[in-house]
Amino acid sequence: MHSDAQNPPINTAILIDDEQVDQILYKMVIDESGLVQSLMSFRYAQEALDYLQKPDRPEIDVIFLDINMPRMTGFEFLEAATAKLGASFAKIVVVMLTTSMNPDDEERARQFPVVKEYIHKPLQKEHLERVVELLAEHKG
Amino acid sequence: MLGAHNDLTAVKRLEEQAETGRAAADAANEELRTFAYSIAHDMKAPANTLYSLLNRLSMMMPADRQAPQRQLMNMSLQTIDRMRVLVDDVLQYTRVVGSETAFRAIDLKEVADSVVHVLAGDIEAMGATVTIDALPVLEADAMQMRALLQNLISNAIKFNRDGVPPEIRVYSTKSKQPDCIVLSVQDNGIGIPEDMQDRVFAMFTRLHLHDEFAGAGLGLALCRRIAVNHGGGMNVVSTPDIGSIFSVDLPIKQPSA
Repeated sequence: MHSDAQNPPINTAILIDDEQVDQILYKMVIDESGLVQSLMSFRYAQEALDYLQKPDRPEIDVIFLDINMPRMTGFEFLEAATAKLGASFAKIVVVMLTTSMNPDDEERARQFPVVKEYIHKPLQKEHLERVVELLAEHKG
Repeated sequence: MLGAHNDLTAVKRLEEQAETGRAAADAANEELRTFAYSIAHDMKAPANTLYSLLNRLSMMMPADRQAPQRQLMNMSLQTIDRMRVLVDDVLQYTRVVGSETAFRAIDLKEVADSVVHVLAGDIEAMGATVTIDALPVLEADAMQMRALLQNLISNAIKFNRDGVPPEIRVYSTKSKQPDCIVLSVQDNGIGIPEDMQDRVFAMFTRLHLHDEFAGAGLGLALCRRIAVNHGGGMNVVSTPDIGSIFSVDLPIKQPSA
């Protein structure tokens, strides 16, 4: 497990969630997992979108995306990011749900190929392990 | 003759079906309202208990403000506080929406003055000035008018700009609609960007982080609902960093039942 800590399988992760308490809790889970090298977090989706448009930013392995956020929702973020940066602005987007999705939302989320996984909050270590598997598949 | 009779029977049957459908929809709505009210009501007790328990636990914590236990405890208290706000707001919404509207002559000036009295603590704490102009008497539901003005005035206090004491004016003007007035609450607060203005009346919709401005996102949804209950409507005119004017069209008389 110490080799994990030196060379975590998830290089760059982004967390987008407006809830401060949730963010702190998820950062604890992410830190304890030792699976993530570097984590950036945003509380407004627009700020994450601005960051993704920077030319010198690193490649993003995974974005953990909340849906119900003020001003720009998770869905609006997916639409805007896809429009501005193309369908694969990150290797994987994991949509974080608070409640079961209603069928309209599910339909809406399926339109984005970059969304590879839906999880129910709170974020847990198993969810991070699943991302590691998905990244391995992504590499092919 | 026979054909005409059959047509009449068919029309009558359709009317009966429509009536049955309406009654079923009303019953289903009523059931949902009762359900929402009961859930909110029954969650209030455990939320309050949890709040008291956490407060007691908090008093036993190490005094060191940087201790991780202390930080987790503060986050827990913040979270339970939000839950209590949510429960209270859902209760208020379902109570106002679910109750039978009782229209009678209401002096809006009296309602506004008494709301200002209730909000005196917040008004003083924020250094706010609230000016109530002459307001008309109209046929309305007393509880709903109070909830309407309380939500609009407390929003006007809450969404203030840093270092700018809230200046709030409540006034009424003639409406373009016949036999209606426009009741307006004007503030000098943060304002709402134009592309966000249609969102503010939707249920559970917020434009800010919880630590910027508290709230469940129900206040303006309730205000709009109250306007509609009175046969009126609501709108907002707003400029970021200048302020907002929330306006409600209200009929002077309600149709007699």
